[in-house]
Amino acid sequence: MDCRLIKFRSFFFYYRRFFGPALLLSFFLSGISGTIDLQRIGVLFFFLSTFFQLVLYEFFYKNDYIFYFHLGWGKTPLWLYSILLNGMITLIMMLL
Amino acid sequence: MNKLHVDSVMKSYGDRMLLSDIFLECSAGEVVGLLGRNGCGKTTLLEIIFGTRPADQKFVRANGKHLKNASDSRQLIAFLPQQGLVPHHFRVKTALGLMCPDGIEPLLHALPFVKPLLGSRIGKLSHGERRILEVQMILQSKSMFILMDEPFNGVSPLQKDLIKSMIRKQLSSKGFIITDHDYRNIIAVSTRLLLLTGGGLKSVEGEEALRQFGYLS
Repeated sequence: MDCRLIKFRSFFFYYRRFFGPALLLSFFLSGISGTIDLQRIGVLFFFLSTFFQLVLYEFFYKNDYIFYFHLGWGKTPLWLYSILLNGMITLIMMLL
Repeated sequence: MNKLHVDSVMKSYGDRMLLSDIFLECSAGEVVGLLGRNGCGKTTLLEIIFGTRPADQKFVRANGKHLKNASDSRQLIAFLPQQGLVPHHFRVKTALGLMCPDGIEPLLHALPFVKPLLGSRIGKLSHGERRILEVQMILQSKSMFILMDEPFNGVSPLQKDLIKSMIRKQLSSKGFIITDHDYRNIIAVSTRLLLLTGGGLKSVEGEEALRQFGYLS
């Protein structure tokens, strides 16, 4: 398998772990305020996904980084790309 | 070239000096067995070499390249940590696909028991199955130097023999640093034996020397 494809796939698995919970909680928190507001969900998602990433990978699963190191990822790029993707998803939600 | 060179490794926790001016070399074709009592710093030393634990001071060079952190170690050093390598939420097939860039067929040929487990999550495997799978994944990597922290831990005698034979098969092209409390298997597979004691490394040969230095009674 191509090296770039391996990196892309492994980032997807890294990101997937906190994407789902952050998105669900964003919808839930926005929902309990009475309206489904995509702008609010977007902002909530940005902060919650960063929070989940911090809690999951810096406290509960910090040894997982060794696996990602073997696949060509450093800790800083994983964080940077995640925040970038969070920002893009937030922006899309705000523009919808 | 084809050499892992580790020099001037210093690590202390508060007032306690754990590793004091460690010097270690490993060449392709060599298995360095690293023994030592609990808490003497074996795991810390491997983590420092790989780059996942900061040291007070260190110099690590592999194939002429100075390595400062784990990102620099890619394709040069692979590390099998004590607590397992692959996150538990991965399926076996996915993990193998990512870790074995040349395809999973050679691995399935070497480890036929893996085939029925391809759809299972890593967390659902027994400790022994997971360990032997991870050892094989690490051996399939393109890295020239392999660090293994307790590869024999929780593994049955038959599987220990399998791990040793897998290491020997890769010996022509790779260098290994292996630590484990199963000293008999470490002695059996090693070409050179080091004892980590009092913060330093001593070169030893056989069980008698281990007794002399107080590792065995």
